[in-house]
Amino acid sequence: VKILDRLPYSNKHSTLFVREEIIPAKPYQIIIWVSVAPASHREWNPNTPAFPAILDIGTNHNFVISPNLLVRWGGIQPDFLRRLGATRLEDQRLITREADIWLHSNLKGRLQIRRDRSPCRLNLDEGIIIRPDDGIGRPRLPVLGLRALTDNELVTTIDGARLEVTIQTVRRKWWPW
Amino acid sequence: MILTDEQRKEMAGPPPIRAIDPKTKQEYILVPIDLYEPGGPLAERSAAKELLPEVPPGIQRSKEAFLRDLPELMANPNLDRWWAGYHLDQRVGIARTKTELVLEIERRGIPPEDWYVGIIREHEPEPEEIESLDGRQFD
Repeated sequence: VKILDRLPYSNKHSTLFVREEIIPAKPYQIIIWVSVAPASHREWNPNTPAFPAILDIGTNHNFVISPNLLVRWGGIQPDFLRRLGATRLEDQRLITREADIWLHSNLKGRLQIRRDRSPCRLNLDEGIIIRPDDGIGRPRLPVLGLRALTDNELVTTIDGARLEVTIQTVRRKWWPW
Repeated sequence: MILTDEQRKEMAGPPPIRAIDPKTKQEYILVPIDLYEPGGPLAERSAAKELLPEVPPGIQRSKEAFLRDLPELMANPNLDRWWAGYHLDQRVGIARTKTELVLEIERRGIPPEDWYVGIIREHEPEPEEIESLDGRQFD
């Protein structure tokens, strides 16, 4: 199943709209749309807000977001998510909290979210990292890292010729016994 | 760093002794090495705090049970990137997705602070060193 189907990315500056906010996106950033929800949610809740994040295979964790954006864009107070452990990021000791990421599908070849299909739930081991803003400049965009793609066995194809990204699931394994 | 006479007098008092850098206002604590060296009470307390920050004890215990069993689970290649759920020292189950286990744990009425679900693959010791882009530094 294709979750992202030839999602375009740009080699130029562009602009994102998150509700009333205008967010600049830089060239060569793959912008995806995600939602954050507690891991205990049985199924997709259409009222969960979607917001942009950068797909970054250089990030060696699942997902990094500031507490401010988690509240403002994700609609979740960090304390609502279970504490799981700790990590170190640029000499900062940061808490990980349990959550799932829901990755929204796009209309084939376009940036727009597909509304006729539920997003794909990504199970995250060790949850998400809540990284406080340093208060300088505009907030960092959230980042979806390679670990989330790997643990969920997603096949990611970056087509540099077309400036497009495709992410698809692999066939499920059978119960091993 | 060599103590001055004044500092030595200060150190005669009960630890910890506070010191301050007048330029940066950064505060330091001086303690005798036998309190801090490996195995000493301060080192143990510091290490425990470093590894287990604010994680509820039930989650930590369940996670330790998962890590204890992990080598055995990883020995089965068919379980690569499956998930295992634990309630304290007991395994709740193994499933293809985390969601299946979380829902089963909730069905059993296990309190949120008493369970852990981990993926079956190599795990780095905590706190793991993470690298991530700033999200705004490249123009």
